[in-house]
Amino acid sequence: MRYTLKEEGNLISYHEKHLTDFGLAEFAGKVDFLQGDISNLIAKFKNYDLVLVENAIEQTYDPIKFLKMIHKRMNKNSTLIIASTYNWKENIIESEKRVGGFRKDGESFTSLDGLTEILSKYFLLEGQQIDIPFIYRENARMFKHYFSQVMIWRKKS
Amino acid sequence: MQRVTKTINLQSGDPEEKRKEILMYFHNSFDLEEKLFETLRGDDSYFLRADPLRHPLIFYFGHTAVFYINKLVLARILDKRIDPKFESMFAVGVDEMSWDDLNKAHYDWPIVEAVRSYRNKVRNTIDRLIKQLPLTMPIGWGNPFWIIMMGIEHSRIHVETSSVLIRQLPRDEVVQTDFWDYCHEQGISPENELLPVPSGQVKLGKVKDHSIYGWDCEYGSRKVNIKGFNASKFLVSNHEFLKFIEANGYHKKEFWTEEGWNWKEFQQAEFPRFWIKEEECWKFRTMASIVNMPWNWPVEVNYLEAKAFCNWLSKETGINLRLPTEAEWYRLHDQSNIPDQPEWEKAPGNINLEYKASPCPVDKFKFDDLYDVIGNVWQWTDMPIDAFPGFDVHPLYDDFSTPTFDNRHNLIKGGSWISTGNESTKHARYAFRRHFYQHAGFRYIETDQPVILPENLYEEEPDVTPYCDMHWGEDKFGIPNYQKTLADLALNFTEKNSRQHALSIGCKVGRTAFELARKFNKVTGLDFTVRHLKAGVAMQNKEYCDILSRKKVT
Ligand SMILES: [Fe+2]
Repeated sequence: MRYTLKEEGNLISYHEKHLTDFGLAEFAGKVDFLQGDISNLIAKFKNYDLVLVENAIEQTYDPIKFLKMIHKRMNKNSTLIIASTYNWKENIIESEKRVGGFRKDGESFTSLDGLTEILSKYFLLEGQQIDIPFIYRENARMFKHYFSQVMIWRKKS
Repeated sequence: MQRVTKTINLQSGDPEEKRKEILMYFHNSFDLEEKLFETLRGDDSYFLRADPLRHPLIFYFGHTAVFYINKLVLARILDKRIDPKFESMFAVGVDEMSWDDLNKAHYDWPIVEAVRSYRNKVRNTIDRLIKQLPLTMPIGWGNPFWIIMMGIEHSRIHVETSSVLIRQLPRDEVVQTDFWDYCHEQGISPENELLPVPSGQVKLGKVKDHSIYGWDCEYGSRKVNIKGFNASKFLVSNHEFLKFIEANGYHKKEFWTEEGWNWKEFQQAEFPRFWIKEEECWKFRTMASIVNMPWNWPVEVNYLEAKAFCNWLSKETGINLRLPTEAEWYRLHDQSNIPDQPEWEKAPGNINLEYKASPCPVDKFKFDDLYDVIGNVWQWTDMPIDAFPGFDVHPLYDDFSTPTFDNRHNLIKGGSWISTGNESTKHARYAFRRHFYQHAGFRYIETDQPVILPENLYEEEPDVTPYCDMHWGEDKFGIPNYQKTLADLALNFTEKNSRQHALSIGCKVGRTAFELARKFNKVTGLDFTVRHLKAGVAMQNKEYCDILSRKKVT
């Protein structure tokens, strides 16, 4: 796969990456890529042993609907991993559809509170939430440093 | 000066001998350009715009000299400029993307004498550098002599492209000199026929330590299995092409691609660019003369005309005909056992200026069964240029190829009578817009195999490329790859017997999904944005999974 990256001003650099560079070539055939809307996930997406949600709940227009529904698409004893920066996209998610990050009954109600409230109906939390950093490169001299909060949930039987 | 030269073996040889060889190659190249400009009638001719879409020739007279200095300064081999004003004015040609992209900018070009004296200064500077720079063998991409070779080979490309511009000047603006005398053989065109070419595998691309100079796009590796096909014995001659004109081909939209028809309508083209209709008689423009129509020489057309001809002939004959792809051209080359330029005693075809300064009859140079597999005129292919797996840009010339990786520039192969140096080698890869005129014609092939256009162009979407870097780029600030970290975490928390199917939501350009596939039987990567998924899908292209294609050029 080939891509360009912004260096500075109009200057760009050229990159080429192969699955072989990562020892992944032999697994390529097991992966399918599909377009889908998690706020309105069509029925064919089901029977998963693992659902890994990578910084997607903060980008979809109805995250609560997704969080309440996803257990139905998962197998017995399966694992749900939610990674999020809780950076709720204001132009996409109406304020009443946010999971947390506001005052509720006069008190702070964090995204962690909101996630826990919804998900613990269907899942058991495995251990503690953890923070994992990642870097988004704007150009050669500008990077955004994020911390995702990651929670691992086991589906109740 | 020496008219016939060979490009230099940069991998082996004694350094001091090599220095002499390069010095001679340099002076011969510089002389060759000056010989070419001797065909201009007078100083005024330099300032005429031979083609409304290009700079006048004065630009090219200065450009190749300026190129040496600009690249050597960029490489920090030279620390002083010779003439900053010239080195800016003559730096960039016109990047014509469309046939109506008129070059209207106004330039205050210096007089010819000023450019000539600048050229002399450059000649002395390069002469001194070649004599004084430390030379170690082999000469690879990072060696200062690579930059010298870059300048030499660049000037040789422009000898060819300028010769096309000279051919476009009014006849009385040029003079026919002995050095550039054209071929005087002409006659009746032989009947063309289709000859079988057996199936076989071809290997495209050069390894990094290939013995001769190459442009970035030549490196890398691609293997293609070619199904047997039939190839026309000769390049299409002027006479064979006449039948298309007589069949009113230039007025039948059905034979033209949409791009071709639009070009034809814009240009009001009725016949090839260098044909001249004088009353009821056809004449022909060589670089510097007008001659009777050489019916048995190859026709010179752009891709769009060549394509229309093939479509017409297919209909006429009921046979599936088209231009060969790049890989199919390699197949022709392989089965003809042609030595590459530095190894031949005498050119096996009309190439490298080893014969006359024009095309010659299509039945003059035979290679096994076929004629003109190399030389005479370039051969249009049906293939837009793209990068081979393993491609890298040369850091000192990063816009040689990459702007042409857009499916709008088609490759020409084989070289012409005036292709010298790198241009006349097997692996040379030049690509032009499809409406562009060079000394180029074509041969057709019969095959039922469709042309598959390149798909592995560069991802350039500004909202996608940062994710390409996040997923597949190097780790930054000591922070391990996020996608791999997440996937490893998931693999730690799932048990062996429950790893049937994983769903990776927000999978973007795919790293997490591939990492999960190490242990899961099946992984579905899901994203809201299709544009993000393209890169992940591209990763599954077999060229990026094939271990053998992964030989980095450094
Ligand atoms: Fe140039």
